[in-house]
Amino acid sequence: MIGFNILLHKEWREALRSGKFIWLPAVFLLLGLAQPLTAKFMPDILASAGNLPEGTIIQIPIPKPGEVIAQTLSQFGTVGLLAICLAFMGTISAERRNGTAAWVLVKPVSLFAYVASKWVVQCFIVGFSFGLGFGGAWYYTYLLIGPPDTQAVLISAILYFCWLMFICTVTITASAWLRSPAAAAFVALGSSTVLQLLLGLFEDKLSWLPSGLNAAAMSTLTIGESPPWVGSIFVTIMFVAALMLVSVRGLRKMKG
Amino acid sequence: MDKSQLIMLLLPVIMIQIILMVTALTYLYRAKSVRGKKWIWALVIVFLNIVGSILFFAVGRRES
Repeated sequence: MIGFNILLHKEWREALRSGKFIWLPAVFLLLGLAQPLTAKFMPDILASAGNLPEGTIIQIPIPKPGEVIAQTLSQFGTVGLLAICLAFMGTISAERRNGTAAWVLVKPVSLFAYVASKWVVQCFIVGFSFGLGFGGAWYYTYLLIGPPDTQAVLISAILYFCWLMFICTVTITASAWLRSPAAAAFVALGSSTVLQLLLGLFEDKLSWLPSGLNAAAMSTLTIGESPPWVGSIFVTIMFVAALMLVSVRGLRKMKG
Repeated sequence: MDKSQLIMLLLPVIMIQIILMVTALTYLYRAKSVRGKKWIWALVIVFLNIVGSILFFAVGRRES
């Protein structure tokens, strides 16, 4: 881990400069605030937007607090995930193209420190954005709909953050191996979809997949009881470690 | 729930939206070159709100 601190500093500066620290939190916060609002005012929106005949009575039960927060998580899972993949798709491949990577790697730094510094800063940005958005959703749900179960909310937040961290790592690895940033974003989004699909198909057998974290977070919020997620967390950590080593490999191939 | 309360609730959402838009426009103004024409990006950011700003940050900018 030679040069880790210096690289960390560089990544930090770059994240501030490129505006990632402004727009990613803003996206998550908007998503988080919008969902409780739409859940609360859905009957009013339908009444004013749809051209329904006079005297139609719309009865939509206002969802439970936990369900609203689970809906927010599913918004994070689509738009939020897309934003994360787009933000980090060029992590390594863009630096390789404009020569920064070559310039950094002629210095005596270890390849692992190079990848790890990127990983740490990205996880921090994602954690900050997710925390802000989730906190906003929690607050608005509390104001508009009712107090959700605090313990369930906290557990699901931790589980979901692990899932986002996993997707982040996949994006870094993809950008270490693929030249085109678009392809890296596609691989990351595709693998998250495939993992969720696999889990949906074989729920009882494959609950240890990283996407099990996502499912566990949802069901903790909606049903109130969580399926066993310790296995998923363990497997996810293993996957993250393995993917880091794979990205170091990709870098070494490019260097040699 | 009356009107004023609703506006109080919507105010933060609108403010974040404006912050995002202004940041995107500042970055657009400062950038030496972007992918495509600058005025088109300005229209995209202003009229597509959140999606426009995300698109600009993700694909519009060229690394210097």
